[in-house]
Amino acid sequence: MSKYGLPDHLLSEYTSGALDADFEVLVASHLAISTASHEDFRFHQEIAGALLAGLSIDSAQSSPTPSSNLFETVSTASAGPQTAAQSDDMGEGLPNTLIEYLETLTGAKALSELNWVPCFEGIERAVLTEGPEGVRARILKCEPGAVFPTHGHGSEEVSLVLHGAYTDAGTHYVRGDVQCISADETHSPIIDDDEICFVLVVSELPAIILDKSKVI
Amino acid sequence: MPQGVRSGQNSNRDRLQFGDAERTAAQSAALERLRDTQDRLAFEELYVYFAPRLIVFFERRGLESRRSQEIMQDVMAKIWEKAPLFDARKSSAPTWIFTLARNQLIDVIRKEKRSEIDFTDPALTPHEPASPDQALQRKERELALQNAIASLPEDQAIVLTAIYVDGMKQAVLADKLGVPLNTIKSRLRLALKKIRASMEVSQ
Repeated sequence: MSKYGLPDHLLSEYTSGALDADFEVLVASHLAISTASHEDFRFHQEIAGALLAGLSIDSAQSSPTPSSNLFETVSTASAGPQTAAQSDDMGEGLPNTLIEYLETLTGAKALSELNWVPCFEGIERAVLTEGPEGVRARILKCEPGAVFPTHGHGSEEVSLVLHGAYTDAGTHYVRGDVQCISADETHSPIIDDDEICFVLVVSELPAIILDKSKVI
Repeated sequence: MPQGVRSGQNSNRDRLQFGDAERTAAQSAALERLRDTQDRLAFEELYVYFAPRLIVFFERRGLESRRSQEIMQDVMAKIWEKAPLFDARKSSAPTWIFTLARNQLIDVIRKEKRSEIDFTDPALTPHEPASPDQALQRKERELALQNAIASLPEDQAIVLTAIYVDGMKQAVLADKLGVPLNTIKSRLRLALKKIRASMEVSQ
């Protein structure tokens, strides 16, 4: 069961809607497949709600009552309130928000349809988004037991485990878990040896590989 | 200069008044009436309070006045449609409405369909009846939250408003205020710590 959630700075920017699309999809996917951040997310939403309700308005801006138009729209369009929708998949599949995003970006409807390119031994990469400096969002497909060469990042890197599990610096990350690596850290994750592992990784700047001999 | 910074400097205008927890509880009750009986008066009550504030919110996010009006109407329609998903144990009316407004804004900005994100929101999952005890807890939590925000030092309140209301990124806010990014980060961290602490005491 996943237990590693998101730090406050990502949750606050997600709550406000300020995150770039790739980071936003990572956060939404995490919230869809893990409950680890639900309580914290609710806390941020409560703050945002209180600030919205606390906004002062000029009397000139007040709208005393809804127009009859609006009532017509809401009552005919929806014929009364909707029934509750299904909540997202907490099972094994990809979160819907990620599937939609992948399809929008690449046309792929499943992980197998992505353009996989080998990058290290036992590890393939499908690039999703690129910034001016290079790769921002990617999904990594890691064979059981694969080991990442030690690498750093010029910016914070956020990883979400979509399937399988890995260990990094003594912490075991499973499906739904998030790992944040700050700009000045280096690391070398090791994939569990019993299962393939898919990880969604987003960073503003591309990874910096310290041991170039490992690059394929 | 963006709206956010200007308003940040005048953030006293945005400071919450004590006693708002009563108002929040009444709004949550109105949303429950809308959910349970499609009460038109309850909808009007929410409209009167939130319509002008949603317009201010969208304007501060950089939308033109006319566009802000239109999107406010869309959000009010969403409130009607999605009322069945409101759960007063998990969320308050302002929190729930903020989330709808935020999603609508992102729809508009990105021009893409994001329907399902609503349902992954923990605040937007199907409801179960709230017991009076839980309603009381929510109200106390709300009071603690609002008092904590109202008693934040000015510099922390400015950061909070810029991030949640104006939707600024911390790095952008640091540039605008002419302070290091770490200063913004630590103001946010301190503010959240105080709010968390006061909400824990209230539990």
